[in-house]
Amino acid sequence: MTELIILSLTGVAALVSEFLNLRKMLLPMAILSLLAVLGLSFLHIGSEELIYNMASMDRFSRPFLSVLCVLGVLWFWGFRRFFEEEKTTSDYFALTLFSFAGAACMVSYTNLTMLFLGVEILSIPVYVLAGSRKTDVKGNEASFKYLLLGAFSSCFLLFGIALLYGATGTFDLAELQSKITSLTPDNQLLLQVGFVMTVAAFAFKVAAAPFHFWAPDVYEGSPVPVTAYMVTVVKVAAFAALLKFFQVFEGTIPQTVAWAIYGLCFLTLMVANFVAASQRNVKRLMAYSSISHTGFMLTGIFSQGEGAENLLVYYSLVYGIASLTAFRVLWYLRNEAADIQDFKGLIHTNQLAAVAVILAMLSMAGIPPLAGFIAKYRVLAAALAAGQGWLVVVGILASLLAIYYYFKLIIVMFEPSEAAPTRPLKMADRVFLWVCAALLLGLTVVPLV
Amino acid sequence: MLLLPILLIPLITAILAYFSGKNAKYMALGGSLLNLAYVLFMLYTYNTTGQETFTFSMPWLPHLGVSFSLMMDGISLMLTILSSIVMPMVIYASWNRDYEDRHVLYALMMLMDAAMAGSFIAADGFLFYLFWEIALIPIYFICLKWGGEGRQRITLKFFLYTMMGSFFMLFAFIYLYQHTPDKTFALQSLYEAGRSLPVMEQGLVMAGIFLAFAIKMPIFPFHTWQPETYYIAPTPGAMLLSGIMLKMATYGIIRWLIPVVPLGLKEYGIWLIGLSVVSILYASFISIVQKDYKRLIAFASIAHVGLISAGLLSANMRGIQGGLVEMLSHGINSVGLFFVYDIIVSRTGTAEMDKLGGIRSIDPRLGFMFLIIVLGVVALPFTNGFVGEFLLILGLFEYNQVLGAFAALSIILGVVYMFRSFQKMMLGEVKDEALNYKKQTNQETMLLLLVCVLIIGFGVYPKPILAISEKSVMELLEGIAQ
Repeated sequence: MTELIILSLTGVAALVSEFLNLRKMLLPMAILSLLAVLGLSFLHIGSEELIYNMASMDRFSRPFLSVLCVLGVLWFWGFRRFFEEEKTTSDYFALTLFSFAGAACMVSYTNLTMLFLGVEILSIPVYVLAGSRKTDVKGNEASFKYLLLGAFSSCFLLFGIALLYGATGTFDLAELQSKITSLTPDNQLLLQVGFVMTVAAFAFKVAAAPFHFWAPDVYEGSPVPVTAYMVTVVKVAAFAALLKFFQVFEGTIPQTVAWAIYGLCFLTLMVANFVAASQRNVKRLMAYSSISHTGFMLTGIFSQGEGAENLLVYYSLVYGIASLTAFRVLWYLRNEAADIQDFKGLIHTNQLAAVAVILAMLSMAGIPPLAGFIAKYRVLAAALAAGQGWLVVVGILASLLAIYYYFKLIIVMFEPSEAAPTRPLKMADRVFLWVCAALLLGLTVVPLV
Repeated sequence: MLLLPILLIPLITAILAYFSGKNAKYMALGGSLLNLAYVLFMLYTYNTTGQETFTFSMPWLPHLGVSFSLMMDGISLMLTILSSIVMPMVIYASWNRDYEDRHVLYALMMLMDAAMAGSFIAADGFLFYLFWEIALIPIYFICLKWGGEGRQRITLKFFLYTMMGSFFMLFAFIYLYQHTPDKTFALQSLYEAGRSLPVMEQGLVMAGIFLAFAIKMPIFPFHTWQPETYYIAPTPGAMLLSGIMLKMATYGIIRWLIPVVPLGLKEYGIWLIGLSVVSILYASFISIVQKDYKRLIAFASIAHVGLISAGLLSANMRGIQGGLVEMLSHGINSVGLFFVYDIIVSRTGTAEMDKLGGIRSIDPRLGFMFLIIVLGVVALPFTNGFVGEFLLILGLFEYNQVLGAFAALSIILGVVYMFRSFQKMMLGEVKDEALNYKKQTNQETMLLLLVCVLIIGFGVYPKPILAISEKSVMELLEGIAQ
């Protein structure tokens, strides 16, 4: 409860700060509130708190909330100039913090209405943020596309929830779970359709193929910091919610539906990696890479189900940090749409930035000793334990393809370049890259979860 | 506890070398010599205390069944000695050459040394895999940054190819892991799991693991990455690749293949050995027609490693012992061959043998020492190459006489291509490219002399080397005989 209050209050404070002339205080305030939530989550990691039967802070939600806070702090830190550039600083702060509160709802919901509210609170500010460059055509396109498809997926979600309610007569997850086994055949069918619809809505949100078509355009059109926010915080929140949803239905999912979801994993892994291999625009490449990680995360949580929290927490943290690093350097090189050639000779012009990107790419490609390897390994081990050996083979193939396109970026960085040295990074940004790099290496040695 | 410094000394040296800028070469050489001294101290402890294995274990990823456990017996010790002898030589070989950002180069080299040493002493399948992969990253960047023409494409192919192979190994390990009684990746558990499998499954597991090794060594038909990569690699990179890195695979055969799937090996091993023998002959014939000296060495390396692989897979005392000795001599000889390449190219700018000639008449010292290295490579008696190859062929003969006979051809073919290269570059008339040839420096002489001393020393008195691994190999063979 306190966590949600802190986040929302900071959002409100950000709005008020405009006429209280506290704009300079916003960044420390936002980071402090996130750190406070992180601290609270750690302090009460074992305890359970039910919030009006709508949400609960427990062993499931607290780790995810912590991951979101870590990623949030890193995001605010790394992309703080995003707020300095804009005239409407406080609005953007407020929007981000509100969407963060939505993410907190999504990871802690115990009631389907809360899930829906969380999804909307998370998404609506991001629709606005995606179009924050008002004069940019691509930005507007991205924002509009995201809004339309987001609305579309909300419909699916609502439809799914309604059907689930129709079948069981409840929105509450625990109650719903207890009723699943004792349904009449008609209601059983309703339940299954509701399940599939809800999963489809989630698939939209996490951009799993074939529901991914919006993602590359939106990621490309939005400002880099917003894209970074979408591929980290938004995606992690959606995945946590999806995992919770899966766990409710654990063991009762009919074979055909299960196969359909495995098919989703397969399709996502294949499509994302094959298309990514031919991209020349770094933002689009990162978009497809993000979709490919969706494939891995989906594979992991669906094959393991019960007890997949640790896997997902670890994967999200590692993937999030690597993404933030890559996007931070991309933003440093160029504010907008970047061709792969923008990275040319980076190792000669800015070694730290280049090494950070290399580590991020190696981690995302899943190469030891980077943390991304352990993350991917856990996913594939879970799939194998679930008897889905074929999916492991697909995952391995996907990883090989992924190495190809991640290394394309690395190779370009080693090419000689005549370009003048880029402007040096500020101290705070250097520290940011150091911290990210250290986490990517350190999370292997000391895996927290 | 005794084992940790083997990892830590190179690792710390890597970090220090990176931060010591211009003095990186002193730092790297000092660190690698310290490492050598420590390994020799280990050898001394091993010989005097009679303790057969050193172990170290620490929990790491308990929920994945992974622990950070290291183990060193005679076999591992042999390989550790190899890497710690070769490493200072590689660093010394690049002493007076101009490389951009040397501190990075040395840091990467030491990092790779740490990883390779780790793979030689890992006693956990997962850990072995980790070290195996980690070793790949520094060498990739060494070749990408300091490599020659076409490095982008070639290094990527190298990386993807080896990565693909190791995925198969990982897959096989996970499969074994699922059959372990205590759900861990520990060496003994994997052995137990592997031996409990039916023959057919053992064969499949063997194929998966062997594929990774076959690519790394490499063995025909998985060798296509190797000549190109050796060709574009900077000299220290090529020395590391052929001197130490491919031994990770041959060591892997002894530790992670033979004892894991003894039945599978007995049933289907003939195919792997057959492939290795084909590889020997194929690479030898190709060596004979090479025009470039460096490519010739690359193919010669395939031929030699094919013989090692065939001998090891015959899984008898002579084969394995021979393989171990041959690994050591191949490491030293590789450094010698690549160093000769480096010396010649730094003077003439080319290693095309038709353009060179008569170097011996200008620089007789180089000619003489190159001859000794060539003799070592072709396994003349009283050189280190002879001990290994003789035992290998003997072991293979014990296993299958026909294959042994074919493998023995490699020695004759080796004479053909090695002597041809010697003849073309060293003898005959002085060609244009070699006209302004400068004599070798004292530093170069020192290193070559060291190589020659090791070649002859091990060749004349190989007993202490053979004794290091004897007990461990015996134990290993007893283990699989049950």
